[in-house]
Amino acid sequence: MTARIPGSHPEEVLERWMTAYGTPLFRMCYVMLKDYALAQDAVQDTFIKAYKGLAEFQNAHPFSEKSWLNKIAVNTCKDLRRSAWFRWVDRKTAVEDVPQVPAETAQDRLDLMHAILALPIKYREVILLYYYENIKYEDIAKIIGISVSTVHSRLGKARQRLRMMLERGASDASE
Amino acid sequence: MRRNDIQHTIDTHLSSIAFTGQNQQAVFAAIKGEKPMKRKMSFALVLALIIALLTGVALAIATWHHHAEEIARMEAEQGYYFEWEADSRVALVRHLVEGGVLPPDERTARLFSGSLSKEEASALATQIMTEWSEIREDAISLMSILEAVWGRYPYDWSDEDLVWYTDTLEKNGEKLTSRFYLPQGGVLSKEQAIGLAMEYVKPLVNYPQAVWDTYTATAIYESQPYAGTDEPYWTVRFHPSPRWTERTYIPSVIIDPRTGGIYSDEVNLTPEDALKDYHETIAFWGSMPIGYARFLPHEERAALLSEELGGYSVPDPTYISEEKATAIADTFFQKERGYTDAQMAKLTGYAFYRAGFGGGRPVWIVKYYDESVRLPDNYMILSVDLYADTGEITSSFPRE
Repeated sequence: MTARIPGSHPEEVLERWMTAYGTPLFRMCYVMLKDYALAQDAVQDTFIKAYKGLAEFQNAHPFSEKSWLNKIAVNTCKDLRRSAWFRWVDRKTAVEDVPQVPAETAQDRLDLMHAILALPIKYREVILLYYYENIKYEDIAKIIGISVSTVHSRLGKARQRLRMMLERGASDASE
Repeated sequence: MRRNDIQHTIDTHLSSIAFTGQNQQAVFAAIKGEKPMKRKMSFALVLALIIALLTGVALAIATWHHHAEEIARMEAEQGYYFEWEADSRVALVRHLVEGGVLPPDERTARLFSGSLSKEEASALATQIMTEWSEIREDAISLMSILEAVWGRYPYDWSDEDLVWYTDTLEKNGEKLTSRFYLPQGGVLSKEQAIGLAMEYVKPLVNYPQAVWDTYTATAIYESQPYAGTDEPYWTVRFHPSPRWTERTYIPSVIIDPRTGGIYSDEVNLTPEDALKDYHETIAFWGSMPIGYARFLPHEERAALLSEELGGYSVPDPTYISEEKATAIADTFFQKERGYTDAQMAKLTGYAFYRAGFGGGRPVWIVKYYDESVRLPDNYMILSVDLYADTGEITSSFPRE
């Protein structure tokens, strides 16, 4: 499948992307990085890179625009995770950074959020792409750079860990 | 596990996180080559400046801090704006006006007149807030308001505002991940911390001066209560200028404010350190595990790369050896590409064996790294693929 964008002005395309995908990408980056400022950096960088790569994407890219943007976002988050700053700070504690839960939210949703954030990054990544971004297995494989069968197995393991954490309490099972 | 569960959970918990009009402006500014994070000066900021000029900067800041503390307390007690009753929404707008950051106008006068029903007041307050802060109703929060006034957290905030922020959160019983301080008591100054960090990082990352000249450094004096310490330290970060250019990440440097000691683990990263957490790291890097795997013996490389990338295995002894493959690659770059002995001597070659690649034939992939650049995965300089049975070159990087 080759995605093509109707012949609109590049800045219009960018604006449409930011409007349509900006918030979910921001939230995905936050779950990956557990840091508001870094996530904001990551998602803005994502759109800048996407704009610069627009011509290449329009010519022939095997992704949907959503998958393509997710690939850029995932790689940008990976870049950020390399910084000393990121490595130094104890990200496991950042679960507490999650904005407060609205009062009507059920406790099981709070537990699920904590469990997702407590997952090791390789599982968190596939959970986000599959469940949150609704991206199909084949595209997830391309985004992360692993085989489709590895996507399947990682998702299976991620679900298993989530179930385990929800049964025991996220903090007991996190790594 | 259903999709809806996870989507709803994330969207509910992170409802305060939204890609706003300000974020969009920052992106557009970046692609136009402007310095993007400088916000367009809003009427609110103009008003704040006028107040500051008329009544004194200190008084204006104190006034705004007082009202912002009230907003923080409301958020701590009532949750986020989208959950608030009409009276609280009106009170918020009043705090912004009285704090000198939102200019009063006909709409605010109508809002404060008491003539509106709760529904009308709530709707008008939301309209005023979303227009002023340029974000959606469900993303309005103390942080979004403070960013609308001061710019991006933490980079654009003053040291005093950062200290005020964490003090305020703590007063409201919130757990802090960072606490900010003003340097006191004979510790290193901000300028000294930046100087030490640059002196330390420059030779380690090896960037030419022309590249360095595009960077600016910022320093924040902070502690990490959750990491088990309230001892403050300097964190010096390096940003390309303008910030939103295609960036190369220079490691941040953590500095002991009393001794000048450096705690930047990334720039000290040895191969052994890199391997400490390689299972998680390599899995995460996805397309870049080879950079880490080069430090492993063949059996472990194969196991690791097979899981992450597929197709790697231990070398088949009936085909050409690792040494021979590396020698072929050396010759290729020297004879075909003109690399000198001196250039090649600066690089270290690593051979990776991959079965079933290249039309089913096994290949050796020989990659050369500049190990003088002490970052683990990003400095592969040359690469060549060759058939493991014949030694024939199949591809190379960079291409001719």
